[in-house]
Amino acid sequence: MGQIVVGISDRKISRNPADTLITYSLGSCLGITVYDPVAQLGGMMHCMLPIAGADREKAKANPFMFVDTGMATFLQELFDLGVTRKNAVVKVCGGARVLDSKDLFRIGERNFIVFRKMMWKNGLMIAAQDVGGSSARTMFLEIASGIVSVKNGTKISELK
Amino acid sequence: MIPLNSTNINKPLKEIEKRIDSYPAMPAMCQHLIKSCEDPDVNFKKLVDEIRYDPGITANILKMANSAYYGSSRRIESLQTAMVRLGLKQISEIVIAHSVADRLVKKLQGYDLRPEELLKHSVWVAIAAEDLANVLHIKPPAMLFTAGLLHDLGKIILDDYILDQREALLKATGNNGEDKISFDIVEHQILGINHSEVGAQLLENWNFPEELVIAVRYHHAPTDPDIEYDPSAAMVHIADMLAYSVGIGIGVDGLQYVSNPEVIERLHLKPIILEGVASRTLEKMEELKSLLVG
Ligand SMILES: [Fe+2]
Ligand SMILES: [Fe+2]
Repeated sequence: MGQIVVGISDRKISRNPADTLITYSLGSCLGITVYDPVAQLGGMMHCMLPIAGADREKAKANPFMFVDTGMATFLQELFDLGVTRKNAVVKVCGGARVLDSKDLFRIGERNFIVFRKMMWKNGLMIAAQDVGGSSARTMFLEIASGIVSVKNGTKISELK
Repeated sequence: MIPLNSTNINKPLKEIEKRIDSYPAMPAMCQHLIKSCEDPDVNFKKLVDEIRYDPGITANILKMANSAYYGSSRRIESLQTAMVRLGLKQISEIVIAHSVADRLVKKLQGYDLRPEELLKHSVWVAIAAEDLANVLHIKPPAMLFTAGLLHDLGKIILDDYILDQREALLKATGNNGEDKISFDIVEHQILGINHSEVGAQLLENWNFPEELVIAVRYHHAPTDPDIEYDPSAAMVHIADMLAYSVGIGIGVDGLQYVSNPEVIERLHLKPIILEGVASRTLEKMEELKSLLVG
């Protein structure tokens, strides 16, 4: 079985049924999976910050650091590989936050707002989500089945 | 609050204190370099000669001086040139970082941190704290980078006890929601000491400077009434909260740390400032980390 780790500000795409895509340490970052059962392929992305606005240079070098440029690039790659809007199953987790009475560290919330906007722009629906709270998450996508699971704190469960 | 149960508390605390006292000190050169940085009349030539006797440290300094991370353009062959080029402050940061890296690189089972995660977290906090000072146009305190690098050192000692008491710790942090208690406070409740206090105690045992000890001890409580406002503790605190936010080095403690509202107000922090720090720090952290363990 091939475990393919998706780092922070990165994405991986696979059509090998032996692969499981994994991303660790999701805090306020978003883990986003797209699976197409007809095209039989899936991808996973790990974005750190909501918008590239402040740092266009960074976004050019690494679009997956930001949800807006990340989603645009990731979706285009998937569509080029045969994923269709009709069949794409999109799931999302992360968006947690530290205990912050000043609302300064609301990066996760901002990430999720931008994510929803990008979904809407692309005519896509969120199939399942596990966002918010203050625990660390790990996300898994099995390419063979399209099953997505999330380890939230110490518990693992399927995201559906 | 959970009452301190004497039968539960005393035993691990005594054991933890024993471990702190028997934990191997950092190489003497670290201490020597810190002192030299503070000495306006330091004999640079003599220092170069002293370092030359240690081939390991010499090799590390040359490697760093020639790396893209420190902006190298042409090849530096001699220790003397490398030291002039980097300056004493960076030399001491480099030597400390190399000395502590193999301690931070190990997997921590209790905290649920994979190998290298604590090192990444520490390097992140060191870089982000300095970057934060820069964007806020605050002159970085002299030891800020090193304070960031060493702030969670205490986790190495506490790890076994976290593993033993995991259930109790998780229970004590409370349910999801606003009533959650900061993980460092829960550590103190359950184990009688938390990772900040353990780290500070280690540095004290090694005779590291007071400002470093304070920044480490108060990185989760930078406005504690026991201290005057401490810019190092404050900036390490914010850099640390940012590391947790973006998921650098989060384990069983998750994101369960409380941000300090007074520091946030005092530094006039805004989300956009922090997002800038985060985007700049990520790549630098990977680069520096691989120089340290590669
Ligand atoms: Fe800490
Ligand atoms: Fe930390």
